[in-house]
Amino acid sequence: MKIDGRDVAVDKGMTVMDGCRKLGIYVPHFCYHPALSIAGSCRLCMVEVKGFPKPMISCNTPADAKYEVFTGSEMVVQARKAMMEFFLLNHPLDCPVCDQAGECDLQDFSFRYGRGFSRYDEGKEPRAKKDVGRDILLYTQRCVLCTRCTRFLDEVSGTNELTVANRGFHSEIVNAPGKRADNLMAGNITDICPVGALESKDFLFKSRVWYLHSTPSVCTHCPAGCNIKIQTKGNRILRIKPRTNLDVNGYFMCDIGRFGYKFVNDSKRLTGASRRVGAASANGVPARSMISIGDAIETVAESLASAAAAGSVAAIASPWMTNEEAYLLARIFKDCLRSSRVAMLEKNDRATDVRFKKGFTVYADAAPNARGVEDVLTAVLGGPLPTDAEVLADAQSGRLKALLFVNSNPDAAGTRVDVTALRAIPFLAVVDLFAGPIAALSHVLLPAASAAEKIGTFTNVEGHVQRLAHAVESPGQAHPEWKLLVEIYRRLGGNLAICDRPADTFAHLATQVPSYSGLTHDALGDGGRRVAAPPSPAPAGV
Amino acid sequence: MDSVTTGPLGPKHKATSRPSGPPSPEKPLAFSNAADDELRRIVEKYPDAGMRLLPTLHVAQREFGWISEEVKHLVAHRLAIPVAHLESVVSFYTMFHQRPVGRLDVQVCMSLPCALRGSGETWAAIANALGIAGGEITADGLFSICKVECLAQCDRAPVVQVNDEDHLDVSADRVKSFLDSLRNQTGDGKAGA
Repeated sequence: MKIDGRDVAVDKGMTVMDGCRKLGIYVPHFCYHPALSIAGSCRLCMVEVKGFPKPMISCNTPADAKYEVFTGSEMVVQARKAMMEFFLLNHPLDCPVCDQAGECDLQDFSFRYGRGFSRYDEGKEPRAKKDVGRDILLYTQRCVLCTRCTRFLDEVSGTNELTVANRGFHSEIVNAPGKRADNLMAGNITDICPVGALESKDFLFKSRVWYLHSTPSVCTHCPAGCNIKIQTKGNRILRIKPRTNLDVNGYFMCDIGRFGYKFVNDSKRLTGASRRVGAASANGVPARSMISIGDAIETVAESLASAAAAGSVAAIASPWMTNEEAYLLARIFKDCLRSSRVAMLEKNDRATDVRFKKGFTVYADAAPNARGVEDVLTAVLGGPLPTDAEVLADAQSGRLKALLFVNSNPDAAGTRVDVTALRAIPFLAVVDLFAGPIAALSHVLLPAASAAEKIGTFTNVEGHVQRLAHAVESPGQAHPEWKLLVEIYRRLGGNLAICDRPADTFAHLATQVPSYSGLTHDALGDGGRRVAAPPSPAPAGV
Repeated sequence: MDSVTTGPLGPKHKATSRPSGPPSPEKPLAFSNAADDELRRIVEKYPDAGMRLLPTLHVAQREFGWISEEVKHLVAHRLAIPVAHLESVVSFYTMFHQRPVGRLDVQVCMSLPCALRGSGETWAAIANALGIAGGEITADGLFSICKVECLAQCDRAPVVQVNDEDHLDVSADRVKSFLDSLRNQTGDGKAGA
């Protein structure tokens, strides 16, 4: 098939739109979406095919090797201009107050194909704004009835909360009787809406989109490892959007991840190191005083070293740690403390996995990197790893002199461990995001960075290793765990070659963990790499 | 005509069926045995749920008078399809009532050929004579009125359909006698139910 003078190979089942996409030729469209069935209703993706008297919709025209297609000919431009007039008949001119402005297909196409003034003398028929879901408003009048939202809810989530009601000019998107768009994937319909009709209440009137800075990263709220864009203004995260990765999450993400960024902005985050003053009463919380990060690190290193000399040191590693952080922790224990007592923090499960119609899965495990931390710890320290219950049993019985507990759970009260065992430890160092019940018992408390504040890698449940990116600065004196661990490692006389940057740590890790062999941060790129075949039948992305 | 004239705003609809909403666990809405038999015949006749939808909705409307939210849930459950699909289909067709109707449901075609032949005036005359607006029912429960799209008898426009029967050439000046004849035919109120 020839498109705009360029050849493209025709596969079975391919459409003219697919051919255009293959060549990187953008054809304007509203209703077409690669993850959804073809509606063919917006009539905007029309192209000219030589020999056919009228323009054809590229999304629903099967490709043919004999076709010669033109995507920008006079016929095509005229057809698009005519369609744009229809789209704008009842569309309000409220771009100045519409959140979609700046990332709106209708706005972009109007700019390219619109007239600048309307030939339509009748008034616009007002349509009421509707509250269609927990986080979703429908500005009905802005809707172009592309039906991406209803097809998404029918085909991808399978929940069918929205539908098209009425007929002809009176058609509009409505809630199905007794249903609200509250499913865990519902937020995606605000992303796929090509205009400003479906808006997120969470982001409503927060910022014009062109002031946002977008950082590609990975979601941290379950081990699916959905690719995301962290969108920030100044040092605040304003919203999270899914980033397309067909090997992982497809085009979508869940609402737990979408709205899970709020802990990063939380004013109750730990912003400095502290130490415990005096003893704790039986059930009381000991008093604390703030200390410098340097002093805190010094105390932790000394206490771990002296406990190690007595052969009674251990650590609990968080599944919120990056692979690099797990590696540094493992090296601290292997190289400096000569111990292999590093346990994985037990999984912090939500009720069950939630699997949607087209396979998209929200995992019960609330932590992103259990697999990566386990891969790394096992490779460096040798398996099987002790369980956190075993380490805590040592603590309870008085055998443990010092414990380094990296919690870093974004849910301040979310980690379920036996805190009475923690009370029995002579020296408890905790790395955490919030002053939760574990942090309260620590002798030294170090403030950690959230995943949005650090560089590193996570390994998802299917073994896909992906990079995190630094999107915002940590509050106060909070530091990424890798920086804290590097300082401890340095003070204990570790191998400085692995310390400088997470990329260096990762390169070193890749020489020690067999399945990660040959990987580097650069090689991972924005899409990540699969390190091993999935352990069980892969829950495919959408 | 005097007997059905009401105030300018017309009476509120009379609840001729159960209140709308998802089926209540205590007294679930159900098809009668006769309707059940009819639905079984529909299942034999049509191989999939999509094909059964329209005939099933006709049975449901005959059974319950109108398609309430509760009826939508009942039919969706019966056909194992999302209630969203019911909402789309029921709201698309004016032949399915989403609110109670009178014993005679007067449907005035508003499509272009009828409009050119004065269906607007016909509509105004009927509404005025009955003293009700679209979607409302007269106080005696006899008439309800609504606007519909093309009834496919454009050569005899304006067309008015009463329940399942078409009435042709119903111009505004004929409305009074048209309504009188409907009332006379009904007489004891048996017809058109």
